[in-house]
Amino acid sequence: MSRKKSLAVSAVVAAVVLALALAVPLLNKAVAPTVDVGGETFTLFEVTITAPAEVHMRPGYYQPESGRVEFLVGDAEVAIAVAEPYEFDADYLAAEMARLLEVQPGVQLTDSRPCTASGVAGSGRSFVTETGAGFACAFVHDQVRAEVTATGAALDESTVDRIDALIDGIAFGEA
Amino acid sequence: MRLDPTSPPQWTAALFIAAASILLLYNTLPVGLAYPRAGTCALLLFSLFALPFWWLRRRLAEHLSVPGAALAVVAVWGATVAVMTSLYGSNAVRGLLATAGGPAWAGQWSPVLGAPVVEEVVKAAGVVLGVAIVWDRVRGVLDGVVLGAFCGVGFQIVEGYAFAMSSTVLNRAGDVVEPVVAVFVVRGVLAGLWSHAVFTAIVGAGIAYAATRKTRRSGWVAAASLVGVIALHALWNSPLGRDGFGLGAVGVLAAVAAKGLPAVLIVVWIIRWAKRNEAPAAALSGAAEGFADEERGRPQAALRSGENETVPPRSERAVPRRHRRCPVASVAQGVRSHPDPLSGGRSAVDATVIGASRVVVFLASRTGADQVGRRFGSGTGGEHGQ
Repeated sequence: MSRKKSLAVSAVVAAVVLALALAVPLLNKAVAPTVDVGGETFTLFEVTITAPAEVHMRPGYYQPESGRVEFLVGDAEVAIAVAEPYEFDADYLAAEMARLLEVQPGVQLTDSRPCTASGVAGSGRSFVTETGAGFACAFVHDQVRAEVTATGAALDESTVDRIDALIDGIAFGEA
Repeated sequence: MRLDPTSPPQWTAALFIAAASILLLYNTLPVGLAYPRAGTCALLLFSLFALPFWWLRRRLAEHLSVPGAALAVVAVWGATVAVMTSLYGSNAVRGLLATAGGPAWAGQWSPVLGAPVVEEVVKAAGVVLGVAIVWDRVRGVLDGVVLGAFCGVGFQIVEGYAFAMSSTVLNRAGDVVEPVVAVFVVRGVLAGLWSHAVFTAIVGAGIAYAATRKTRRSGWVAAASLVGVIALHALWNSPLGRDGFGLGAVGVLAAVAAKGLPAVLIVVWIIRWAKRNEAPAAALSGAAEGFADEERGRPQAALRSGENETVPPRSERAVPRRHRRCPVASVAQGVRSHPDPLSGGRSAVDATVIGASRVVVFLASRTGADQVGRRFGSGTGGEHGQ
C-alpha cells in the first residue's frame, strides 16, 4: 500500500472513531436540551419520584428498565438508582457506596449526613472531589433499595435544599 | 510486523489505543480496586474467551499470513478503542433516540438500532487499520477472519469483565464472586459463542476479501458484510424471543440459538469456502517470495511441517481442484493470467497478487456503578447485553 493510501486509510479510521466518540455525543448534547420536569412523576420499579419545581432532565436519562434516572438541579447532577430485592440495610448499602467512592481518583469522603425520603430514613455520606463536592444517600425499604448520588461544582445551600426536596419526593410503594 | 515510525496506520493505532487505554483504566481500575476478589475472578474467567480463538488461529495456521503482533494490535484495539468509543457513542445514540421517540422507546430500541451500528463500525475500523498495518501480509479471507475474531474477542473480554463487575457493584453485597460467575455462565457459556468475535470475523472476512481482490465488487462485498453484521447484531439484541415463546427456559435457549446461530454458520461457511478456494499461506509466500524452494520441488509448507520426504516435486503433484479457481494459487502454480471469477474476469495477477502488496467512574461526577451500569447495563444490549 502506498504511503498516500495508508495515510488516507488512517485518516478515515480516525475520522470514524472521532465521529462516534466525540461528534455524536456533542450532537446529542446539542439537540437534546434539558427539559423542565418539575411536578412530573417517574417510576422505577416499586419507587416513584416526584420532581419538585425547577428540576431538569436530559432526554435519555430516564431509564426505567434499568431502574435509573438522572436529574439536573441547578448545576448539580443527581442520579437515582433503584433495585430489588435487597437483603441488607441502609447502613450496609451506604458502606457499599462509600467503598466505590473512596477509590475514585480525587474523591475524599467527609462526614455523615442525614437523608430522608418520604419518611424513610436513609444513611448518607458527604464527599469532596477535585472539581467540587457531593453526597450520597442510601435507602432500603421492604427489600427495595434506592441510591442517590448528587455531585456538583459548588453545592451551595440553596441547591442542597432543592436536592433534599427531590430526595424527599422519593416514595417507596405504600410508604 | 515491524515497527515503522513513518507508518500512518501504526501511528493511528498507537495514539488511539494509548488514549483509550487511559480512559479505560480510569473507568475500570477503581472498581477493580474496590472489589479485588471479584475483579480478579472476572479478569481470569473472561480472559478464557481468548483460548478458543487462539486455538482457531493455530488450527488455521497454514492458511494465515498475518503475524501474531497484528492480531495483538487488533485485539487491543477491540479491548480499548472499540469499547470506549462504544461507551460514548452508544449512550449518545440512546440520547438521540430518546429525544426523537421518548425514553421508553429509546430504552427498548437503542440496543437494536444504536449499539450494533456503533460497535460494529468501530470494530471494523480496527480491522481496517490492522489490514493496513500488515498490508503486505494479508493474502486471503482467512487472514481477515482471524483479524476480525481477535478484534471482537478483545472487545468481548472487556465487555464481559465490565458486565461482571457491573453486576457485582449493582449487587451491593460486597466483594463476592457469585455475580461474576453467574454473568460468566450466561455470557460466556450460554451466549459466548455467537458474540462480538463472530460478528467481527464476518466483517474481517469482507475487509480481507476487498483488500486481496481490490475490485469494486469486492468493496461492495466488504460493505455488505458490515451491513449484514449490523443486522445480525441487531437481531441478537432485539427483544424477539426473549420471553422464550412461552416455553420457559427451553424456549429462551432456543431463541438464543435461533438468533445467534446464523452468524456462527456464516463464519463456518466462510472458513470452509476460504480453505477450499484459497491456497495455504505458505504457498502464497512462495508465490510472492520467488518460490525459494520451487527448484527442489518442495513447497515451503511441506518443509515447515516436516513432510519433506513425502511431498513429491511440484511438477508431480496434482493441484487440488479446489485450488484451481483461486487466482493466487494459480500464481503459485505459475499460471500468470488466470481469470478471477470473483473479480469480473480481470487478470488474476492484476486482481490478486498480494505479495506485492460509566463504571466507574464518576469522574468528577458519578459513581463507577453508574457508569458501568449505564453503558453495559442498559446502553448496549438489553438483556443479552451485546
